[in-house]
Amino acid sequence: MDAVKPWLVVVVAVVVAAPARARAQSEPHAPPAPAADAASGSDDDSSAGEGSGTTLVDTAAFEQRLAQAEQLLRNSQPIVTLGGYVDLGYFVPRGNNGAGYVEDFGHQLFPAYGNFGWVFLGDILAPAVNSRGEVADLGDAPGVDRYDSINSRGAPGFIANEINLTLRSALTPTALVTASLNFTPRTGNGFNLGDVFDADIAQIEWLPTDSQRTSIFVGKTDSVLGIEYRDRKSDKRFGITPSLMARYTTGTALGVKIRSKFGSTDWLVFAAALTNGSNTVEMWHFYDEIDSNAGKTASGRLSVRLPLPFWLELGASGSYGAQDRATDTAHPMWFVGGDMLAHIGGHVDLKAEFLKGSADGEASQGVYGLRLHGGGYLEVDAMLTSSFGLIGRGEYRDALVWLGAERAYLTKGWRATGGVRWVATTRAVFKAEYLRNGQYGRIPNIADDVFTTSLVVGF
Amino acid sequence: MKKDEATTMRLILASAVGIAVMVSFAPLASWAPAAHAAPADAGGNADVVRLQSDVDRLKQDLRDQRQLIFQLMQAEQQRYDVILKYLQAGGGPGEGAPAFPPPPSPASISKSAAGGGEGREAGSGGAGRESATVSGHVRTNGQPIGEVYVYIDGLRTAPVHGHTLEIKQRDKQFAPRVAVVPLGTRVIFPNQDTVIHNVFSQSPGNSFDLGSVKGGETSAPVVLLKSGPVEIFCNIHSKMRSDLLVVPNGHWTRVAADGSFQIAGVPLGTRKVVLWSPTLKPTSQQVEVTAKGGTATFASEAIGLHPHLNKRGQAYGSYDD
Repeated sequence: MDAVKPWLVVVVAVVVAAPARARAQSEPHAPPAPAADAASGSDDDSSAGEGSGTTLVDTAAFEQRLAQAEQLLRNSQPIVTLGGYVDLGYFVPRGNNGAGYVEDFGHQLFPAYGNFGWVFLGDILAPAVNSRGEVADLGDAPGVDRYDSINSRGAPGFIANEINLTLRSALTPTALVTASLNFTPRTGNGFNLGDVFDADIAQIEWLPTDSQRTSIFVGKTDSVLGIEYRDRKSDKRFGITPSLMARYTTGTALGVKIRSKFGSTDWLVFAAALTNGSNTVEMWHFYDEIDSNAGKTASGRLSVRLPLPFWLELGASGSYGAQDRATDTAHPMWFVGGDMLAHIGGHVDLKAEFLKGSADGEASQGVYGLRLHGGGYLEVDAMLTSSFGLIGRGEYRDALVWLGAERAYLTKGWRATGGVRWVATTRAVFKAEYLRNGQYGRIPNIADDVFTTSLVVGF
Repeated sequence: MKKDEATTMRLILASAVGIAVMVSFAPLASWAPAAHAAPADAGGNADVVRLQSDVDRLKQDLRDQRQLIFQLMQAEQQRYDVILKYLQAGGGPGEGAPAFPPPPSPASISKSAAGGGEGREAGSGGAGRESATVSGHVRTNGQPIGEVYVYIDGLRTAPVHGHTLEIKQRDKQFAPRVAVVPLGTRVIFPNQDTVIHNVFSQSPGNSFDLGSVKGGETSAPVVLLKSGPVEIFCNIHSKMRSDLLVVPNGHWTRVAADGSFQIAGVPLGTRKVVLWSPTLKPTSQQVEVTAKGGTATFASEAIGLHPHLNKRGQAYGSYDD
C-alpha cells in the first residue's frame, strides 16, 4: 500500500477544520460556559500550558513577582509620617475695635463690684477669629501688658491662622509617637519677631491589650473633659471658632492618661488623666504647663452610647487639682460638666456641652480666681450635600474672673454662630462664620460681632 | 487607569482568542512543511495555492499571537514600573499615590492555551465532565451560623469579565460587609458618606490603596485577580471592615442556618473543600468525590474579628471612629 501522501492529509485536515471554524464564526453570541459548569473547571495548577509542551505565560512567576512587590511595598513604609495643614483666613471685626469687653467706669453699672479697682464687662475671648480662639483684639485694659497676638484694632485683615505639622511614628505596631507643632506668624514688637510656635501634642500612646481598646498615653496629651477637644484643630473642626467653653476644656496638658472602651460595640468609654495642670487653653489665665506646685490635676470622663437607631453618646466629666500657677496647693480648681454627641442620618451631628467650675485664685501670687456659674452650647453640623454644609451654634457663659481686688471681668454673654462649610477637595476646606455676640443681665450690649473665614489646606 | 484596564483586558481577550485559534490549527501548522514538499502535480495547482494561502494565514496568526503576548508582557512590565516609581517616590501610599493598574491575567491566557479551561484534569481521579454533589454539615457550639461559605478549591475557571461589585461606604461602614465574588471581579467603592475615606487592602495578591476619597465620589475600580479572602479596611476609620471571598470557580455555596450545605456539579476526584467565614477559623478538608458524591463535616471555631493595623502597619489609636 502506498504511503499516505502528506498533502492529502493536509487537504483533509483543512476540509474538516473549515466547517468547524465556520460554525464557530456563525455563533458569535454563543454564551460562555457558566463558571459553575463543573467540567469547565481545570485543576488549579500554576504550570498551565504545560500540556502543550510550551509555557506561554508562567503564572507562578507572575504571582511570585507580585508577592515580592507587595512585600517590598510593605517593608518600605516610612518611619515617620508627616501631616498637617495651613489655615489661612480673613476676618472682619464689627465694632468695639475688635475687643470683647468694655470697662465699667466708676462702677456705675455694677456698684456691687466697687471693691475691685477695675471692672470689665463682657468676654475677652468672645470675638474669636480662628480655631485657636485668638480674638481680633485684646483691647487696652489698664494695668496689664498682654501679648495681643492679632491686635487688629478693629480693622479687617488677612491672617495665617496656623501652620500645623504633625509627625507620627510607630515604635512598635501598638506604640505610637505623635507630635503636633503649630506655627503662627504674627506681628513683632520692639524689633522682636512676633511669630510663635507651640507644641500642643507630644505623646506616646501604647495599646497594651490584644483588643487595642485600651490606650495609655504619656506626655502632652489631649484633654478628657467634654467632647470639644476632639475637634479643636482647624482641620477637624466643622466650623471655625471654638465655643465659649473651649477655654476650659480643650487645652493639652502634660501627664499620663488612660482611655478604655468596653462592651461589644464600645458603648462604654472611660478616660482618666493625671496632669500637671488643668485643661484650660494655654493663652488663658489658668494654664500652667510645668506645674508651680506639687499638687496635680486629676480628670476623668465616663460616656455611654445608647442602643438607638442613631449614634447618641452621653458623657459626664470633671477635673480637680491644685490651681495652676499657684505655688501652693491650698486653692483647688475644679470643673464638672456633661456632654452629648449625636450622629443622625450620617449627615447631621448634634453636639452639646454644659460646664461649671471654680477656682479661688491667689492674689499675692498673681493667680486669678474664677466662678464659672455655668456655660454651655448646642451645635448643629449638617452636610446638605457631600461638599456643602451648614453650622449653627447657640451658647452662653456666666462667669466672674478676678485678680485680688485689682480687677474683675464680669461676663453674662451669649453667642449665636452661623456658618458654611465647603469641602472643595479631600485636602482643601473653606469655611465662613458670623459670630453674633450679645449680653444679658444688665450688661450693656457690646458691638463685638465678628465675620471670619478660613481656608484649611492639608498636606 | 480605566484606559489602561481596558487596554489590558482587550489584550487578554485578543490573546485568548488568538491562542485558541492557534491551538486549533496547530496540527495544520505541523503539517505545513509537508504541504510545501508535496509535488505540485499530485493534486492540482488549485489545492496547492489554497494550502499555501492557509499556511501563510497561519504564519500570520502565529506572528500576531507572538506580538500580542509580547504586548501583554509589556503591560505587565508597565505595572511593575509603576510600583517601582511609587517606591522610589517615597513608599508611603498616601495622598496622591498612584493607583496600580490591575495586573494582566496570565491565568486566562494559560487556561485558554490549555483548551479554554477544559483541557486537563491534573487532580487525582479526574474523570472529564463527570460530576457529583458534595454535601456536608458545619457544627457550631450552639451559636448562630452567620455568614459562612463553603467552596471547592483547586479548580479554576478563567476570570470573569464584566462582573462588578459595589461596596458602599455609608455611615462609616462598608456595605456589604461580607460577599463572595468570582475571580476577576471589578469592585468599586462609592463614598456615600460626607467624610473622607481611604479604602485599602493588604491581602496578598489583591492589595490596593485607593487614597483619600471625599464624600460623593467613587474611586477607580479594583480588579480581584487572586482567589482567597480579601480584607478591606479604611485607613481613617478603624471600625470599617469588609470581607470578600474571591472564589476560583463556581463551586461554592452559603451554609444554611442549620449548618448544612450542598455543592452540586463538582468534578469527580479528590477535592479540597474549604470552609470560610470572617469570624471562623479557616479550615479545609480533602474529600473524595465519587459518582455518589462526597461528604465533608466541619467543626467551626470562632475567632472573632481582631483589631487590624492601618495601611502603614500601625495601630489606629484610641481616637479613631
